[in-house]
Amino acid sequence: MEHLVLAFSQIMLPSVFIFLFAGVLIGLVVGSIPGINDTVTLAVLIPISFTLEPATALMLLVGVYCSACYGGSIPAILLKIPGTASSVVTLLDGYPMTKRGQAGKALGISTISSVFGGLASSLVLMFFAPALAIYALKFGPAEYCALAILGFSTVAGLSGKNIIKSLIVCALGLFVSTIGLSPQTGFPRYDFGSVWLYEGVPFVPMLIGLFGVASVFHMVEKMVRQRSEGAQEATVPEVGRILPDWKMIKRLLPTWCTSTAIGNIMGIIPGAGMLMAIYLSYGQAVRSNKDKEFGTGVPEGIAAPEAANNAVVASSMVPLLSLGVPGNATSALFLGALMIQGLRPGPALFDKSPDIAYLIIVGFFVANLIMGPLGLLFGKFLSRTVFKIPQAFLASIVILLCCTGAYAIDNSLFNIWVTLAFGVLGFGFDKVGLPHAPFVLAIILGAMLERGFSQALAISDGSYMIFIEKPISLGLLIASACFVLFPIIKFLLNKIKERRV
Amino acid sequence: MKAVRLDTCLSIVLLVAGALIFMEAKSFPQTPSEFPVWISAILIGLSVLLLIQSITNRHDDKKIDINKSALIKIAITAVGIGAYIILLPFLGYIITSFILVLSLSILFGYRSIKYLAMTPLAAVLLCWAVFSFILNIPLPGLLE
Repeated sequence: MEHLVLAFSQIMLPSVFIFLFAGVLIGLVVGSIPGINDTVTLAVLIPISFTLEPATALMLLVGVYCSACYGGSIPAILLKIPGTASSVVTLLDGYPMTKRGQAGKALGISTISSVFGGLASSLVLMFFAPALAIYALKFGPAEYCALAILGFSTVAGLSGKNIIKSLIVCALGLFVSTIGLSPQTGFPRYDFGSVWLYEGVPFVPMLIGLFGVASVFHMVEKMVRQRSEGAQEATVPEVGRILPDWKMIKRLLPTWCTSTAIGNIMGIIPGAGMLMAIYLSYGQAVRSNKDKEFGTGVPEGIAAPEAANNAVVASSMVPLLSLGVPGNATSALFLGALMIQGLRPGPALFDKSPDIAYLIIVGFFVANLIMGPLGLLFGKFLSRTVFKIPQAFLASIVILLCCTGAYAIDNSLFNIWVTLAFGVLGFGFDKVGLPHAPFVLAIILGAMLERGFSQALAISDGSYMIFIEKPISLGLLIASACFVLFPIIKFLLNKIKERRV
Repeated sequence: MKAVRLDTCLSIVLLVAGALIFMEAKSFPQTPSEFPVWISAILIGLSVLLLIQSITNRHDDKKIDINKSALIKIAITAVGIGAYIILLPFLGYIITSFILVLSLSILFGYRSIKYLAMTPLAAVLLCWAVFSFILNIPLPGLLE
């Protein structure tokens, strides 16, 4: 409790608060720009932030992460152009409301829903992360190995029809994690004769490439397509009153609660991802409101995805802060940010740098409080301004920032090569339908898995029983088995049902 | 551009990649080779599964259609970044970055002469000033 109070007082220092505020504002702006989202912005900002004090740097990033996914809903509602992938579902009911002349109402619902989801997930982070971290202090090599297996199982269990491709991406990520000196013997593996790879593939330049450069390639492709299709310039409609009335708030409350719960659960599970939370909560809203025709401008159709996506934000930090395992690709970027600040996410963060750990937690809560009024004030203004920025110029500036950021990490040109290589790889992944998130997760879990496995076997003199004898490890392995078996059992039950019918 | 079967091609590429990882791993001493050998075996196994799936469910195997013009622009961008990395130590940050931003802006279809004369240079100078003076990160200087 005393750490929380200290963190609140630290965040109120003007030097810290201004960075959080700036982060929220930057997030709102970049979220509104189609093609630029939270991951791109964080990828570009991490190298910039590492010269700042850890507290201010992390507040900047927290602000961006919180507000960018809400910012994406603004062009989705007003112009039928999703600013971020997470606002694709918001568009389904948001834009029909705009067409009916209820743009302001739709923006208001989106803002309040986002703040509701964000604040609830901040509370989840506030209570779960420290508790889980205390528990994680008991983790040894066997437990970390089992935790890595659990991470892979969630990817496998939640990837649906795309399971083979998700597992392939995991295998590729595992391969990347083996590049560099072997943790057991120090033998260099897959270094291609380059000393730059002895410590593995530089993590932050790799993320800048995967999320920054690859997104510019997508922007280029989109620009070419739009030009060849002769796309017309979007016009921003009149917005009008934004704040929803009390009756609407009462009507949307059950949707917010359900969607926030779904978002929080999906955020905590590594590899589940934001999109899954959004689709699940939208589906749940459709099932709970059978009398309403979704897709025609139903307020619940905006409230559900917006509450869910913002609920994923802070809750995805729970496994990262407490266990060192990122909940999704964006929180993996936070891992990079913490690492270049010399901090180690996981139980050690709460043990050795509790001021930073609690500051991040409180930062998410305060960022959501800032995001509400800022969104209501600037929402309509943002969409009018942001669409005047030429995409061609924006794309070339993002490339420059990616290259400069990658170089700046340790003044190395090799980092820019890594950024370029992973930018091409990331674009290629998208083209062939391979997801990014399990790739990043596998790189992080791969190192944890190999180290944990070899150390556990060294402790037990080569006996595999160590993984079963330790209760936490056994529990994690059982949970892993459940994640893998659940879709199989569900599939078999459906088959039996079909036969009966 | 000619449409190609996505998953079939992907699985063949991954099979080759898995085989290469395996062969390289076999050249390592026993302990450091264990993990990469396992990974390559998993990758090969999954690639075979993907290949079987793409052959048995051909109607599910999507075709990849990439806009040729976009692909050329993306390839030029990648080559441009490569040239930027090579030229950076010789020409310094400001000149190389200006050339990069200007040429990419034109390549991406930014045609306003008035803005092209001003904005790339202004953006590069702003970026240089932020990194050099505010963040104290040294960037390659002119002819350094």
